[in-house]
Amino acid sequence: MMNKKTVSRLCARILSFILVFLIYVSIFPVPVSTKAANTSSDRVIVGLGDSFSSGEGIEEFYDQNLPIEQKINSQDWLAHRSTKAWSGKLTLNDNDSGICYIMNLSKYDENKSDKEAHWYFVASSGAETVHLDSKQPQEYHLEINGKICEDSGYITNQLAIFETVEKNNQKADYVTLTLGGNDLGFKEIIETAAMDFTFTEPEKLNSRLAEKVNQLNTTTAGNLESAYKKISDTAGKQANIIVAGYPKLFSSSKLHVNALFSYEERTAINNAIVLFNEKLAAIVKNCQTNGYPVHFVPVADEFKDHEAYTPDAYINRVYLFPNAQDLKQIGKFPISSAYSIHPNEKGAEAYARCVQAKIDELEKEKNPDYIPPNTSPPQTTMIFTQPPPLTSPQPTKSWDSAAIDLLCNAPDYGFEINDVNIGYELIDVTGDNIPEIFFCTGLGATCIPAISGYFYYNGSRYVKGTVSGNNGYFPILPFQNGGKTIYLTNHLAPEDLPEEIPGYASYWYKDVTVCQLNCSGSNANFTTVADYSEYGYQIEKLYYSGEEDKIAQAEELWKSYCNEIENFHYRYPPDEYQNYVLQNFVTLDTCSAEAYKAAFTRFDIEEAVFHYVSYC
Amino acid sequence: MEKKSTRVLLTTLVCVVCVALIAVVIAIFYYFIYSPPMPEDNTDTYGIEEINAEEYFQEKSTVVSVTPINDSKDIHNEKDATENFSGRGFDNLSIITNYDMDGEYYDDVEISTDSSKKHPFYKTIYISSTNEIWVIMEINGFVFANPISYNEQSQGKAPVLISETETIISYANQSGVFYETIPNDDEVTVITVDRIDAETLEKLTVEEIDKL
Repeated sequence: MMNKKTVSRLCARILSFILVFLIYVSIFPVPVSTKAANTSSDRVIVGLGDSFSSGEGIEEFYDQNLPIEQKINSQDWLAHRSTKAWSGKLTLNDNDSGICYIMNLSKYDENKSDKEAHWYFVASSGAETVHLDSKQPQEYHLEINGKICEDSGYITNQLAIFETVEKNNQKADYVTLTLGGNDLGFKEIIETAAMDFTFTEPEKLNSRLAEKVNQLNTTTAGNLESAYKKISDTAGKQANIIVAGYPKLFSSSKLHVNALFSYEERTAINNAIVLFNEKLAAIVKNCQTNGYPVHFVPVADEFKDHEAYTPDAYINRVYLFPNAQDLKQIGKFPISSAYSIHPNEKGAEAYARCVQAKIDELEKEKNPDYIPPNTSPPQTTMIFTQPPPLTSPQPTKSWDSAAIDLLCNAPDYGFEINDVNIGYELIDVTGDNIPEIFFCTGLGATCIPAISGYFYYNGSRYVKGTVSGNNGYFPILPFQNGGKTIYLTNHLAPEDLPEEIPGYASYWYKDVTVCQLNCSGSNANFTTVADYSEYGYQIEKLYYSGEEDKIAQAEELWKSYCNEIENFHYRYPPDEYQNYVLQNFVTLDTCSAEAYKAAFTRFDIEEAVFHYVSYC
Repeated sequence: MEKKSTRVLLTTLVCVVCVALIAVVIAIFYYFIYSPPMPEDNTDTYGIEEINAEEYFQEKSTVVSVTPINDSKDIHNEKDATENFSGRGFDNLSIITNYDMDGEYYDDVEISTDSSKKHPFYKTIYISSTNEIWVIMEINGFVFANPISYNEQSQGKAPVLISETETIISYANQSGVFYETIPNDDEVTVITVDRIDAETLEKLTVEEIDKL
């Protein structure tokens, strides 16, 4: 039996211990999160949501190059998941290992049972909140093997992806999404605004918007709150849910920005989006109050002055006819493409900037020493180590291809544009999901492949260069060798190539800064060669084969089409212009058009050039 | 002995008080520093301002006449509207209406070719052989053509509407009236033609409209 003294001492000790413990706890609070976050070497982002998240309208979509009968069975293609979607542009750094995880280079591939993935991308064009936990029918109206095929595919419910994440022994760090626009039927609102004439039905759009706002307040808001909570419950409390807002779609200018959308229509739609965003922010706040790690990221400021039909638009215009990858290629009404009034590639980058800033902020909260990625993500490798300083002069500007808008900023990037009909397009020539940039300068000129990006590996910088034809005539080889020498060529015949140049292909060049040719047809212009020093060039030799007579012949062929092409270009954006040029390019050629087109399509440059030269 | 146990009890009491005090301090600290924000008021309602048609037309046009739809004798029924469209070469097209005679709005409904049911507003889409898109409207029996392709590519200009008259008929469903107006130049560019039919629209390419 313990005596009273012993009991009292024991009580005093226990109380002292509790006292000390409480003082300790009050000084060093326990983290709020109850579950441990992922280890930094196993970072995961899950991209959910609707078309603003899937990247609708921004080619290339995953699996778009499959034969059509296979495409309709591809979840990625049916959902129009873009290789340039904003959630794929997000990055997470691991300070300890120096590894930077770039999402679109580590996408989960179910066909490979990919356990090393860091990005699980299941956003889907047309998705509503209900499709988080029920499958989404996706209609297509296509011509397949000469037969009209009108049917539906089904997109797996989006939350099912977390089972896969778990099977791979991973946990989501972040879940990103935009959601709710389809619940409210914003697509129909845009169609109404585009196809109706305001002056003959002035009350219609606002009445419809009022109905939508009423729907938002009565049902959609509740559905969205439930959706956010469900996502959090499924992903686990360690996952931060980032809900991105929607941008204003149209300029607020009172001037006639575009004759399809009146000032009243633009204002009404923009106001509805502002209200919608305010509601989303309020719903997110409610979730936070209830302990859910949900965050709202507004994007409107980032899109300001870049709305649809502005000179530097981040949002697609209305496409009145289907684009090549639209799911609905045939049908009567409505006729506009799903690409219409969706963020373009610049819009995706704007989204990525907004969401990346929130991720960096949250990472900093977790780890004050976190170093956010300080550059826009290179598109060429999943993992890279921080590079050592380059020995050659440092580039002062980014050559990240996705960021280049040649039409607007050519001089900033060292290009000199000589002709009025300039276009560019991004094509994944080499089939590695890394687009090459193709610039078109000069009447009827085909596209000149340029640098598509760079990556670092073992301390060396690798730059990608590709080879194609100029004016479909002779191959041009922009390339650099050994990090110090650059060869600029124009109209170089194959037999003129130095022996050490291995032909027409795509190459990775080690330790180079950048290579680009600035010339076009007979307008070849090397006056900006000096500018290349800005990018660390050392110009050693210019090749010019002196094939002016053949150039003149080729250009004669094109002259008859010049006006048409020019007119077309003035009226349509570069991508449509490019398609037009390509189509007409083929119609010119009666003898080898199909062969040329086929070669061009699969980007067998050598064969394409062969066919075109045969024709010429 | 008694004194000692009293001292122990006192010590215990002091400790308990101290612990309670510290607990209160910690509770206050957590309340003010870590307590979540108060629940958001979810009763907010958001709204969109409705258009007042009368003010709209007064501001943007010269109003020629205002006709309640029940007083109009020009409204076609579905059968007549179909004949009107097909007589102009807009054959085999889906003709859509969005309103009943009470001004009630509904999503696109394709009309019947033989119904006597009337609607204040009909429309169809016509695509020309040069792939230019037109929305053809019949409002209170009058026909207008909206050149979608032209207006889509037209920047910095007022929208164009093709009409057979200098006046435009508009429908205000909430007040149930037709407005006959002459739009201000900076609001709508009205191009008048003798007759709106497929043949005329085939000639009115984007380039031709630009010349008018």
